[in-house]
Amino acid sequence: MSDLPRDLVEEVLCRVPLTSLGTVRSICKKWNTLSKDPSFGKKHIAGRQAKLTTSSEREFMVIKMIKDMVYLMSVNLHNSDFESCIKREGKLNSQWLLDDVSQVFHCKGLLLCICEHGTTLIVWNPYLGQTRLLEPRDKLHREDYTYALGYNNISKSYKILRFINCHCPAFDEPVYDEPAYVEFKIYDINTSSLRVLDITPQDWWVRAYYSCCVSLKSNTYWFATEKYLNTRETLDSFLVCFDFTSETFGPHLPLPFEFGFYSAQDLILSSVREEKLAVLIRQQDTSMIEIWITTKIEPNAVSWSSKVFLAVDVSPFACSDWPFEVRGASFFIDEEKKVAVVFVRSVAYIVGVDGTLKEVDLGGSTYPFCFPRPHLCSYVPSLMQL
Amino acid sequence: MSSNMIMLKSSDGASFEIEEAAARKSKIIANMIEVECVDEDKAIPLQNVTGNILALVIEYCNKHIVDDDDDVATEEASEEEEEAKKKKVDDWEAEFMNSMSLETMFELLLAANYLNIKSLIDLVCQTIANNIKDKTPEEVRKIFSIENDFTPEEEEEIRKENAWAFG
Repeated sequence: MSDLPRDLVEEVLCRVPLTSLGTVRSICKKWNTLSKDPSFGKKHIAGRQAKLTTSSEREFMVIKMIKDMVYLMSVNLHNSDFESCIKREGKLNSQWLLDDVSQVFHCKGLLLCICEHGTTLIVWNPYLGQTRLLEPRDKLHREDYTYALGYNNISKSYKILRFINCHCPAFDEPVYDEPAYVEFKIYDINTSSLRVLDITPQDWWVRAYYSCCVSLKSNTYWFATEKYLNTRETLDSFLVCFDFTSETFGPHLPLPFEFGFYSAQDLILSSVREEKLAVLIRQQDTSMIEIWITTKIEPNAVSWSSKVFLAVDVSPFACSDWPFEVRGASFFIDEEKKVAVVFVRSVAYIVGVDGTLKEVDLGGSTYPFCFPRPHLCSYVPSLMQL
Repeated sequence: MSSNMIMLKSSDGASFEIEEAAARKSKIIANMIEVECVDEDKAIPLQNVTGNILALVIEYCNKHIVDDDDDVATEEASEEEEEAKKKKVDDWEAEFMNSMSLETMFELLLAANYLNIKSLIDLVCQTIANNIKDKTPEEVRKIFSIENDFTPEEEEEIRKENAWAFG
């Protein structure tokens, strides 16, 4: 290959899968330099995306935590063989710093790992193999901190939001006391500066450790519940968005079904190809699940498709944890293929709109109960330097 | 309709007859035909391509010219037919590439690049890239006859970096 001119070597190397980049870089100096060139990166990523979105193999990448390891997986719901439609592509090789990842967030190719209960944060670009360790000065451990990773479209910078809006009330209970501690802080990854945001306490709360948030078009959406009882004597549930460009929270965004209280245990959010938002809800005390998709989603406006995408009784799965235990669960849908995949710990449940049900064990299912947390997020590579 | 035949001559003097439509897969030859610098009685000399490689290039072009004709004829083919046809081409390409050594692939890539045949460049590059997948650095170096020019310190640095990459 040493006989090939540089542009042909580049043509070959930009066709290797993401997981072989490490190997390419360790072959020789020439390959290492070449594979780190931004023009190579652009070509490599563009080629991959083109391949992933051609009709025959519409595939997408997800980051999935299994035990304490972070894996890159490819999901191809167009594969008629369900057993092989979810593939482990590779894993994060390092264990020495990441032995206690409690949450992973993704936005535009960067990952934010919350480690050691928030005393260490790692920002990570897996494509470039770059990491930045952030150690908050206040080593205060608060389980009720909510984190989000986003992107400011004007300043072109990645930001981390950390907030605590109220003391989490007991489950399904309204908040009777004023919040004892409120904090809204934003960290700019480009300039390494931390700022306190001038935001008044919001009238809602989110349960940080449930998979009740989703990153979409640079912003983060949460499933939130009213803090205080309203005049109807009920607690309403809705979505809220933090707009990373204006650095403000948007208004309450209604859910597709009738207003009313929904427990965070019964609801999961997901993004559909980084364009739409989908919500999975389990009807209370039943094994009926419904999935709804937005027709429009912005920080301050939402509209839902008038027809439910999927409504299926998943009781055949009920011998396992799901659907009665969705903490830490995540899901993805393929509108064209009319199918949803729900990941609960290390099992993937594939649910067809027509009611077909399949179960795929991703391995490592014997590990004991772990703290609920978001286990999975979609992933698109980026060339952002850290 | 019988199409025009043209002659190609490899660097080691071998002559090949090829349908003009197939030869047009090469942008370089297509350009030559456009500007009419192809003399019907004379072979086009290809200085950078040996006979055995040119034979492979011609095999590829002939196969794909047939496919292009099919495309026109079956414009309204069903999705299944389209898929079946694509699979047939994929299978043929896989077998075609499978039959050659890595050394031949490199030569074929250089020829495809010289003749400017985009789809063949894609095919060969992808096949070579697949040879890198799932291999250790040592294996890759051996396959591609590359010498490791990192110092142990540099190698350790690269290893650390890639501990944060997917592997």
